[in-house]
Amino acid sequence: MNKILTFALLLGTAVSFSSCNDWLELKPESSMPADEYWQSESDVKAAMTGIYAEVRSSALTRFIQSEMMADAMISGLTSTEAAFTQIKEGNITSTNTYCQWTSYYKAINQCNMLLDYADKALQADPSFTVKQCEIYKAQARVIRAWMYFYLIRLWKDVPYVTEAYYNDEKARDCAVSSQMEILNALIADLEAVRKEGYLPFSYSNTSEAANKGQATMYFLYVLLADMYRMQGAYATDQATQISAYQNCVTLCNSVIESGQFALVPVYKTTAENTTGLSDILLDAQTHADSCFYVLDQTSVQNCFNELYVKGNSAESIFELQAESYEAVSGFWSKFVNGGRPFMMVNKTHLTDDWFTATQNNLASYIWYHDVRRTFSFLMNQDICWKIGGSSTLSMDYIASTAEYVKNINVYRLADVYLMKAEALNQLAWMNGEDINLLSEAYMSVFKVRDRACATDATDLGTVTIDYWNQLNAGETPAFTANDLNCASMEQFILEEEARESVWEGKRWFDLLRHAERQNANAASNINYLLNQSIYSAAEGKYIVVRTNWLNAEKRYLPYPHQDVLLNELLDQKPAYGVE
Amino acid sequence: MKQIFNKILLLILLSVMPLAALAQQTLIRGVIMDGTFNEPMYGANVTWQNKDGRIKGGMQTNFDGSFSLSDVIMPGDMLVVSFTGYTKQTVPITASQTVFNITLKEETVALKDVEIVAARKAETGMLNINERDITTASKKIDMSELEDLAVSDATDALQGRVAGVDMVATSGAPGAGMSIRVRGTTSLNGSSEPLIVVDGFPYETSISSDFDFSTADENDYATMLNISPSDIKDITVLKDAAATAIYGSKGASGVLLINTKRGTVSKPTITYAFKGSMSVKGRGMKVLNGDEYTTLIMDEFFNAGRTFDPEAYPELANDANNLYNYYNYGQSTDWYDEVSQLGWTQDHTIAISGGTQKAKYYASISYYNADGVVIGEAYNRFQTRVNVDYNISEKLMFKASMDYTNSSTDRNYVTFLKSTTNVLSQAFSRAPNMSVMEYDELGNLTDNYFTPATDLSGAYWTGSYTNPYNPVAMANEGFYNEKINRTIPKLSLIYRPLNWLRYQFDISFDIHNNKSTAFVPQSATGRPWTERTINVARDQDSEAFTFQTYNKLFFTPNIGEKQNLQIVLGLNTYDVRSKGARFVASNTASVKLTDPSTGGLVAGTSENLWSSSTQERTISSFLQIQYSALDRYILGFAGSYEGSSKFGDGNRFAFYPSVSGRWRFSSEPWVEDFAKKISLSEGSLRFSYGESGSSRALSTYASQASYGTYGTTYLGNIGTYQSGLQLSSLKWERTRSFNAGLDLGFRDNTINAHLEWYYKNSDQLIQKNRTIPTSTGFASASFINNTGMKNTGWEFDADWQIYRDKDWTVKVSGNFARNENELKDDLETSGSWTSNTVSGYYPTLLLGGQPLGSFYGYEYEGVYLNTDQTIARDANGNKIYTYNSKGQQEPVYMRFNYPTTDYTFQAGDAKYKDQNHDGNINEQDVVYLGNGMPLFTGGFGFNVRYKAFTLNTFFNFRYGNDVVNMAKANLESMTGFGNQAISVLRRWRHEYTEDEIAAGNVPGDLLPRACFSSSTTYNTLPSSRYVEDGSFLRFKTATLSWTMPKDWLQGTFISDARFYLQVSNIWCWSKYEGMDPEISISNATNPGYDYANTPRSRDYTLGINLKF
Repeated sequence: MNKILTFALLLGTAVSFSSCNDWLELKPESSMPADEYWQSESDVKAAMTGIYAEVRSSALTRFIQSEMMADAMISGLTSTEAAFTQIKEGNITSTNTYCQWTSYYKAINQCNMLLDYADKALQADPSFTVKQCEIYKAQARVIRAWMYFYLIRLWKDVPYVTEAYYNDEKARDCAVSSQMEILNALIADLEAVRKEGYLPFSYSNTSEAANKGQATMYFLYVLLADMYRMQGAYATDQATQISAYQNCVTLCNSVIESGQFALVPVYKTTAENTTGLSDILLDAQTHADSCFYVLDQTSVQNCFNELYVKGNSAESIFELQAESYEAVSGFWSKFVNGGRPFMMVNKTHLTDDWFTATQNNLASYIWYHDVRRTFSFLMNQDICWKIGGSSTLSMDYIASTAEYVKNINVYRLADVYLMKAEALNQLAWMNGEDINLLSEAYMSVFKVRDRACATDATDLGTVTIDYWNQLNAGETPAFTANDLNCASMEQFILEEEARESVWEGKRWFDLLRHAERQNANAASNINYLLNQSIYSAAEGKYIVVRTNWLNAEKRYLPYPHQDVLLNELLDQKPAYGVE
Repeated sequence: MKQIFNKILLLILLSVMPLAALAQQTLIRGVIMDGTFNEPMYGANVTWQNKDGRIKGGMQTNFDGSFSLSDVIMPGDMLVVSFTGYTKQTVPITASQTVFNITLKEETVALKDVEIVAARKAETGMLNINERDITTASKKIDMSELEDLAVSDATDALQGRVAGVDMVATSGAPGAGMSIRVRGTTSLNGSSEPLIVVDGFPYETSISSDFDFSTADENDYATMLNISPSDIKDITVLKDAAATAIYGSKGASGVLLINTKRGTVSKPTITYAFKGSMSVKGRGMKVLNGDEYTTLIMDEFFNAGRTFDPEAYPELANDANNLYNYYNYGQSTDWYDEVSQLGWTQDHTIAISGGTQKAKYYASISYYNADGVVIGEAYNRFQTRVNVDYNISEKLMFKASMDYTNSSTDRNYVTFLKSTTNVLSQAFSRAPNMSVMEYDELGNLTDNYFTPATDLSGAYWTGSYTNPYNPVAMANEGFYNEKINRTIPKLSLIYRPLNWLRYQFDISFDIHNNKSTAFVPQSATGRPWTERTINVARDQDSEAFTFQTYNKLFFTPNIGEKQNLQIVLGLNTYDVRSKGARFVASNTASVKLTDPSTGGLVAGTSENLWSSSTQERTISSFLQIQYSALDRYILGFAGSYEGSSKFGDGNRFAFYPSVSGRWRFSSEPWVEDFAKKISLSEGSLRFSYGESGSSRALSTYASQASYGTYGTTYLGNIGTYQSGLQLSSLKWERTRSFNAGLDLGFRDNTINAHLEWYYKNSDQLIQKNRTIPTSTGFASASFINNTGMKNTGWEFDADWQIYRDKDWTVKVSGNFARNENELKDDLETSGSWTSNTVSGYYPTLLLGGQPLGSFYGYEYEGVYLNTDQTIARDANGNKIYTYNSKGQQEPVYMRFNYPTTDYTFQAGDAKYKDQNHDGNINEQDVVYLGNGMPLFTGGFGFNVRYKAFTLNTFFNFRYGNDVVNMAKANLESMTGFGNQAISVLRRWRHEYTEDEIAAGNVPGDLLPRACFSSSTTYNTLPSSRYVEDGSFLRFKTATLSWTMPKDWLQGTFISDARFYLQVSNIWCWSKYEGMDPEISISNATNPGYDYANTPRSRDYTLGINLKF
């Protein structure tokens, strides 16, 4: 009988909850369980690396989304993609691949995870310093703000999530916050990071890649300046506009004056002694009649290499490091694809409207052509040269997959000059067309144009050869109110932005910002965008696209189908119908 | 836990060890005499046993009949002397007597007729309960009723025999399993196959679902029971939750209890059974011959507005100046005939069994070999089994068994790419004008297969089973072989310290090795040697090691004659580890080098190099109580408390209770008179309520998230990310079920009828890869507890022994079941409405209020006979008009999916019903078309014996299920270069005038027009056109057997001999137009899609059973 009792007792023990629970605790052998992560600095570092790797892997989607509705990117001739064609036809639906925001929120969630958990690692790892931890957290906040900045420009009002979502016990549904609320929150967050001062200005004395490939204080400045520029355009009260633009100018100046960045130069020589240029000279025109320069081809090629092939140039502020073909293969297969790209450069539009050939106006200067046209496309290729070009600037050579290890530009110094010019011009406008501010704005644009050897045809008509000679000599001409006015300067800057950043993922946001700008011309600002519909839309569909854009809601993407369906707190935008 | 088991083991060992080992030994001796001849007896067995009958020592007597034994004398010890043919003698051993002279007397046994009256005991898992006292829904089948059936898998023999158990073979190929549904489907993503318990231990029929090899799909989850049918004694099906409760979650989809044969007390018996079958291929689909095919392609070209250019398509040019093409493309090949053959099956089993009171044994060896009717399909199995029961003493015994199986399944290489297909799909669609073997430029037949690198249908490339290849070459040269080595040793120790108490400890190991190799040769694909698609060799290994234990305590207290109480309390542990690896190499040096290790190119993708390792554990404690009083009132209770390693900390354990009862009203005193009047021998009402749970849908570490890495570096470092959501709130799937039953027996139970009604309510069903709002940062959660579903049904089961006398026996039996399934809520699934615009692809929609496995699509209304019919019409049937830019009235033509696709229907196109009369066929016109699960299932048969002859027949049926005839959809599309069914000869060829229509000159079953390129025609959209009634009644088997009279065998070494002839799949009555209406149901959400699998062959079998 005693034995029986022992058995019963043993059985009882066996059934006891705690021992069984331990026995059932199994961990996967071939992967890292989530609850054993965040134990050391290396975990945080790997997670931070993961964030960069994630934003790099989603760069293609981001890039297409920021160009697909604009005028420089059109469907390929031989290869086409249905999702892209639908966008071009103005048939934008919530199920379209390019109307999805998954990659943004994935990166945001990774940032949120790091922000929530870095302190856990800090406590577990004695060699992990508070300062180092704060550096990681600051980077995560900058990247998160950057992702949201895309979201509010593409979808307007979006869910604003700043807490990590990692297990199914948390609520999945989230309502949207308004575009301006989020923008203000992002600005406040970045200002806080800036003030805390943990974010380094540089990470390495030796590696340019480390300094350009990670979020630095300079990247924060430019990102913040870009946000202020948007705030200035979208804000409805002048006080906010003025302070936003002023902040933008200050931040741009901090970057420009830091001495850390410089435009990669393109050298030019006078053409007096150069032969073979007679074909562009008009009758009875001689070299002496105008300032006539030719470009130093070696420096053109060098500039292209530095900016778009080698990467991490002196001009670059932040760019995602490719490191291997696999990491950026998506760009190759979409835009190069062995010469049959799915999306190609709108060559006609760029040639006719952006890179107008010289007018051979004797009163002005003449360039053979703008280097940026060369950078954008080659005459016999459909591919965007910036994206697909190899180190050889040869007319028929496109990058093979093995060579295709190209960084993804985010911001360059040229963008900062133009950003500053735009802000100054708007400030001038609010200041009764202040000629000093306007002049300063022009000088800022000139920096970019000068390097690019922009042609006279794309300059302000009032910039005469005398002015130009002064400018070329490094002097600031004494512009008068007759020479410069805010409305034409605004247009000029907008077009310059287009030329400078062809296929760098900025055009649509520039167009949109201009259309929404709440300044003296608020009522007619939309027209420029509407006029671009003829270039943006697929053949025969421009009326559809134009009609879409007349509806302010349709200038933004519809909420993704999956989210509308599953997020109880999210309703589709009325313009896109009820789902 | 392990420590606890060790302790238990130790205790058991201690309990059997002589407790007084240090006490003094005593020598006893004596002589055994033969009482008949009065002389010493040589070879008599003498044993010294303790009070429980355990043998302490023993020997056989010497030539002089003497013996001597030495041990410690304990109270109750006995000396037992025995010799065959003599009466056994037992003499107590005491300290006072050490010399024993015993005389044995010869046993004179007069055999007389003995009528054995014993109630049939049924296995309900743990307790032995009289079948007539069972409170739950279960059904026992004695394998002796089925042993003549020529099947490789016992479940095949069970098909249609148990009400409420729907069994469907996944294909007619040898070695293909059965998918079994006990009372419908109760899980969305998990397997709904029942648990199989062999000799008390759960038997895994498939390796864990984690081994989701890229190629694995439904067939791999079909139940292939690798147990020789002749080793099986009986099978019991447990249907309701109260019956399966003690098996916990594993039994949530029903339980099949299988008992294998064990030895009995008898002299050694050797049996030999042979079955040999010849299989004749099933009815194929009739396809076009070479000339009809060429004409069709021309027609397709014409309707698509293409011109036929003989230079572009020399294959169709029939140019006698080009002898190579003229011969190679000028044939009329019947490809189905080319890839099929006569199938042969042989099955041998030798078994030996017997035993004494002490030890009983059963051992068998069997060999099964089947060559299928499709070339390259075969199944081969070698199996041994040993079962030993040994009584150490009256209180202690052990049972041991060892089961080893070695099986090899050969299938076509394309089956490896997609398990629902084989070379038949290519055989039906391959251009019939092509030759099997190549002709050279002079028109001479060569020995090479004719496999152009590119033919009209395109070119073969890796990973697609639909791209063209030469099916004969593929069947002969390519292969996909799966070898299974499985060893299952089991051991049980049983200790009965008291009459009413029994302790049992069971332990079982299951070592399961699975190796699959596959190879696709260049000679089947015709692709150039430089491509990676040729000579692709694959080698995949997976192994699972399962370790299970049971600790059980049985209480059977005697609580009076009129009452009976049985209790079992137990603890079960289950631990399975699985490992797998795959290695793929292409471009091996020769088509004869089919192993990847012989060299070749290896690409380091997850498809080519892969490995996995998982472990899973469950633990459950269970209690079952059975109480009966006055033979009339019977109550049962069962419960299990179970935990699984798949769940997170908080939701790991769940409790599943059940109650059941039976009231035998026929034994009530106030009914007895009436019962006698109507000769009612049994009348009972049963009820049960039970809960059960399941975690089968989950993968091994389902609730845990892990960190993954990016494949590329950033700044030279590897980045990480949380690769999935942590699923802390994941819960068990839970089903509550009610069952009510009525059992009636008349005329001393020669007529029996059982009626069951049940209602199963499942909740928290687990949905796999369920999408969630992407603003969370994750696109989907691997598993989410989602909506539920309901299954309601009833079952009827009856048998009647119509007549019986010395020469004649006539019996009939039959069963009938109905199950109705209903989803509670809509379920979002991927590939939903939008897939309606894709030809030949049916959307999977899970809509609330509809049954699982429903088909949705357009309603097919025939063909637009002329252009006038393509004008859109409003609800009243009036044509719809619009005004053009010139102000003229013009008709609006029917469009497809405006504005996205925007195709205007032409005369000759398929006509789909415009449900909302908007002139636009789009997702708003999609309707419910049918369901893949049947309304009724069942079977019936009769059995006639006349003297030594017996005729056994069996029919099974499924009624009311629909089948999507995908094979037909492919063979009637008329959009490409594939061959088509002969029905396309009735295709639309010209516009019909109203007069012709009125005169009835239009064929009733006119097919749409042929039109090349599927992107410009929408004739094969998912529609009611391919949804067919899959009801069938199959005359499954007829067996005529003859037992040789005993007197013929006298003087031979054979004691019994029986011969039989059997025909299976004799006839199938069905309206279904495809090859075989028995279509796999193993995929819960998409059952009933027919992709032209091997149809069931008709088998002719000769069987011999001999007993020695």
